[in-house]
Amino acid sequence: MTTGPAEHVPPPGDPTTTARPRLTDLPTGVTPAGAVTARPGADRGYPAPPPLAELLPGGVFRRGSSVEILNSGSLMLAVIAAAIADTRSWTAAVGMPDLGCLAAAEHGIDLKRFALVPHPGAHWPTVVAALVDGFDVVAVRPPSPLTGPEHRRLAARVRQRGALLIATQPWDNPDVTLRVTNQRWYGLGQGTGRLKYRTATVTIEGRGALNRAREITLWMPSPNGDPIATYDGTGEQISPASPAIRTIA
Amino acid sequence: MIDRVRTLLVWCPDWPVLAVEIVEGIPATDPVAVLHANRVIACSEAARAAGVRRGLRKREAQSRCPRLTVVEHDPDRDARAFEPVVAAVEQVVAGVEVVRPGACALAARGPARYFGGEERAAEQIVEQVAQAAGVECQVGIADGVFAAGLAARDGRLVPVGETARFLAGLPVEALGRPDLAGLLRRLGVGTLGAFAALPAGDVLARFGFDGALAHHQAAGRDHRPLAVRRPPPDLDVTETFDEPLDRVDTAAFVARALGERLHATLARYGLACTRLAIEAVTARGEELHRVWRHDGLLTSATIADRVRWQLSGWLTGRDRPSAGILRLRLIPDGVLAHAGLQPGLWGETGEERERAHRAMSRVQGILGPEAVVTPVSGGGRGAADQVRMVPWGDERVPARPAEPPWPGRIPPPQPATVPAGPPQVAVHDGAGEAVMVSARLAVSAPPARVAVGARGGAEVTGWAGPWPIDERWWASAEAVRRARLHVALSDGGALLLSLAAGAWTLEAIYD
Repeated sequence: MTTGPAEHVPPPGDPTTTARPRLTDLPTGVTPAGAVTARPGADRGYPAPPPLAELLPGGVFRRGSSVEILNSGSLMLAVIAAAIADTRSWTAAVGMPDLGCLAAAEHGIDLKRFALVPHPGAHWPTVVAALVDGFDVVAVRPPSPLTGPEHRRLAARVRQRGALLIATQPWDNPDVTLRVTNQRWYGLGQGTGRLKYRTATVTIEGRGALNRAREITLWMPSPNGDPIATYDGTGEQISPASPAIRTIA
Repeated sequence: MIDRVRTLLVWCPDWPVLAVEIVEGIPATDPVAVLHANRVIACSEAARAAGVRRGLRKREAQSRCPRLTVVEHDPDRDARAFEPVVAAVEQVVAGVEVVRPGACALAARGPARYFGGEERAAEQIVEQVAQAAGVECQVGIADGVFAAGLAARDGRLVPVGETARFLAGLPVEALGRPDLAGLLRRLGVGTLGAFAALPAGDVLARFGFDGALAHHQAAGRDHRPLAVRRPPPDLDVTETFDEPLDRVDTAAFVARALGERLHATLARYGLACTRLAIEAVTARGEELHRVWRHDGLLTSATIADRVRWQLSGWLTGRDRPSAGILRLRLIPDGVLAHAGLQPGLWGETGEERERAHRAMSRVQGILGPEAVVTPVSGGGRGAADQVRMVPWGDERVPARPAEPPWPGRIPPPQPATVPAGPPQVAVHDGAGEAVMVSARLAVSAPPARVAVGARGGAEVTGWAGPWPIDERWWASAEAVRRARLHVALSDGGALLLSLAAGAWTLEAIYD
């Protein structure tokens, strides 16, 4: 016999429907007005997830930039989902054979428009360069560090195409670095409960306006099920004293 | 009076059963029955000996022959398996009509003259089918396809002009129209001869057009000419080079010319292809082969693109051949009549899609068609088995349907990292003993430390479970029995652990 967790579990549904409702969830054949007209700010860059947007100049990742996201697969998925939300853009992930695709669907990424190259092998810079031509957002876990002319060529390609390159391993000279420095899961007791939500502290630094590292605490996911949300200090065992955003030296 | 076509009919008895043997590998010497709509439509000799007959229900058939293997009828399978038989017949004679899977007809005059007599021709064809396709068949020759079909059941050669007399002795059931045959029996008409003796006008008035046609056939007046099958045209395009091809720029040039040639060949027949196989033979005799898929129709430019990518992939790739390419062959696959392609009106098309498709084809050219995958979510309980990776361009079908309820599937939030080959973990309690789960789902002690691989491990701050999963216990090869545990660690991380056969593995990381 098969039984589920003893805890009250929300009725399992299709992961794409349990995700946050989006304009793209409208029945096919209906084009939302927002997709017909240019999105506000679309020319400037790729929208960041709302809690991170307030830390980024203009609230976007600039076109042609490279972003380093360390220690967190779900933060990467949240960034991708926000960047391509409300567009028909395709996304590619290179060198991630262990990416949880259900989590991607939960974040609101359309799996039909999500291409994976799990094992790019030694040719991975060529593969990434080819994908940058066709995809707006390309995530890559570099199997080996990329330096010198190859790195410059790839960076130039990304800049020229106006794409967004996301690296989940240390990347040479990124425009923005996001790093989960601290996290805490809630919902587990000693033999009871289940994983429900967590708080994560994300450090953001980078070039230009971001040269002073800043720290933000997020829900990832939040108690009401959003994959990423601004930390509002609610929830069990949380002291509402600490401010959400701090500047660290 | 119109001269009837002297027809030779090749008939394979119990064809659906033979097709099952050819395609599924179930020996036709065993008792086998093929069912359609719960009724037996064909059975093997062994099943017939045990009392299985056409038209029996599945349960009746199984009660008469308990060892009976029951197979669902599949017309496609029958037709596919019959293709080699038709090809074998076509090797000795020309102009074959496939009457139905299991029977094909041809005009007997030509082969009879060529082989020196109808009997010799029949022997030749039976021999050829047995040799080339490995199938036993019977041949009947008579005037007209209908009579030849009945003659083939006894392997008879009905002499010229004797067809009407041959038919006259057969029961009305031979018409293959059960309703009509039953009606005729009740009217006291038992044989085809008696049916043929009825006035044609009255038959048409009483039994309608189909009855009139049956009346014609019963009288041996089968005027239907053979609808001869055209052998499929040879669509392959081959190019042989004097100088071995070893440079990408020359390859690109060749690719264009070949792509246009293939497209022109297809266009001449009004066809288009959806898959393209590229074969190359190098100067040292190495053979390279790869199939390209495309979700639309391959046009001249897309064919050329694929050939170019493939050649540059072969010539610059990791396992490049040791010599240049001498011969190149393009084989269109998935060929269909080109009646124009209806592009999607909304959503499915667009500039982004075109760009992405080009990029993915490019990567397929570098790494091979299986290297680019798209996930399809389906049913399942674990983090990994709810997703199937489909090579891009293939049909997006989940491994298991999502509809049936999957109690015990891992609840949201879903983990963002699902290791492909789950690594072993050590789960210890406070005393340093390994934590186990009993058959009654009690943990031996609360887990206190979890160590992944060789790393030092982390303290457990919270845990939940164990939740049992017992899947496919009825199929011992696929049975999965495991217990799952959520643990939160002192470093803030959370893991999904699973215990199967006494070993803990790291099923997913909530990172």
